Amino acid sequence: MSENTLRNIINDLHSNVTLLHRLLSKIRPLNEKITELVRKFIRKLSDIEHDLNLISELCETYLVRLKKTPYAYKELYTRILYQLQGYKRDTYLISEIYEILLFHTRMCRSKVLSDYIALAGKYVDKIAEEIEVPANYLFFTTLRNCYSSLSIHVTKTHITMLPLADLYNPAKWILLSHEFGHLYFQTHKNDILVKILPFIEEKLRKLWSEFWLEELVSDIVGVSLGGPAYLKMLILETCDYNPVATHDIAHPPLDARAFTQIRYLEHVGAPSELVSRIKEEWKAFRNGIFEESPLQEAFNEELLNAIAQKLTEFIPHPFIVAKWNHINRIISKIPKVKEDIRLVIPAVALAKVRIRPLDIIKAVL
Amino acid sequence: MSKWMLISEAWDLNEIAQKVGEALTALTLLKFIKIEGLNIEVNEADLKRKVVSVETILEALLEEVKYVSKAGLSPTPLVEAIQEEYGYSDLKRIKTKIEDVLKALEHLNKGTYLKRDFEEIERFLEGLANKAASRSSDLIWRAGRY
Repeated sequence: MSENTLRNIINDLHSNVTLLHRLLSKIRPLNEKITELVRKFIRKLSDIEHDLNLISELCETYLVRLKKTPYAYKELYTRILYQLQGYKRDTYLISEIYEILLFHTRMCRSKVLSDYIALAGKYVDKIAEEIEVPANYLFFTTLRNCYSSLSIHVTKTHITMLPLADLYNPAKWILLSHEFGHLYFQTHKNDILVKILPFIEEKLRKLWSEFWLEELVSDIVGVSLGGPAYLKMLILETCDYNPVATHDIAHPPLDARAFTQIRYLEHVGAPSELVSRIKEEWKAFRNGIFEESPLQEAFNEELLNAIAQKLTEFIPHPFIVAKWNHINRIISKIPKVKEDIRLVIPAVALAKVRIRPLDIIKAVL
Repeated sequence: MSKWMLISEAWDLNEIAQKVGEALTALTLLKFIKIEGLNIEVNEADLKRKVVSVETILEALLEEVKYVSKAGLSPTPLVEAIQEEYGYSDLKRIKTKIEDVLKALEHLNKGTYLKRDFEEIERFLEGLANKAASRSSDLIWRAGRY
């Protein structure tokens, strides 16, 4: 019996942590958010270093003394090994954050890219004010290859990502509200599940609670902020030639998603003009599709309607309903007007003519 | 499920795995001196604090059991871990088991060291720890394939 292997593992972890610490420290503090994000994860690394020192002491103080009692030695040895494996996983997870930050800072070397990323970040911060999510979270917006988000509840961080390909297309940024919706779902999950799962057949509850409901709730967050603009951009993003089918395990079919959004707006008492507009956007796309087959029974209209109705209890006063007239008024005036970005993004998404990105930037207060 | 969703869940579970792991190490040392009579010097108060710190995880789990039961939901990975450890699926029995462990932690915190309390806490935490660690590792592995 020798604790040398444990010492080697601890040393290996120490070197992992030291390198990550050094790399994160070198991330350029381009703005306060990056500084805060880096600070959060450096603090996490410092905690790990501290814990590794305690475990080293444990090896030297107790393990060595327990050699004469093999069963106790082995028990403690195994417990220590279990803890070390957890720190190994930590280093992997923090490496992912480093990679996100590294890519972000590289993109920000270009002044133009940096300005657009900052504007997208401003949009996310502003929509965060409209949605009931924990105020003590750090919201960070960055670029990746697709719309996605990463919530790290232990460090109270939510990273929202938009595809590089959409950076110069602010109309599409409305889809960031869906990514923000994931945080909304995660922080309201228990209440939502308790209210909605009774409507769902027992054998399908696992799929609904793990995947589909989170996506539908995120859509409702999106449509509550963008209304028809959200659905219009979702159609562009999904390019779905078969909207009655599920294309991956997580997302319900586009037909089900659109139906729920429209029903939500109807149930929440949105103005008829707003409801008509979202229906028009949907029909304009949907009527062109060759095959008209029904949705599978798991997404029957009665269920989707019940879900939409229940969700009005969670978001009873959507931003889009309050601001619909205002958004309509500014559509034709961009870039001559200066407006809140929460109004400008849906307005440019709904505009009949494409508005130049630079004009959009000019229109934002 | 996106890579980032996998990572998010892995992070949550790893945090639980680590807290439970630290408590189990402390419990083991406390057991050595208080139950098995091994002669090693420890900071008893510090070890007790580390063991009892899992109370918050158990209380959250109790809430989880309540809402799983109320919503008629399939068990979450940690509820499943307890079901697997004890071999029963009845959520009422799972709830009672968590309450038993919380009582055992209370005894330990008061300095009443009973062998059966140590066994109760240890078995429960091991079940939880193994599930949290293995699921977290699995999620990280799956995320790495993206």
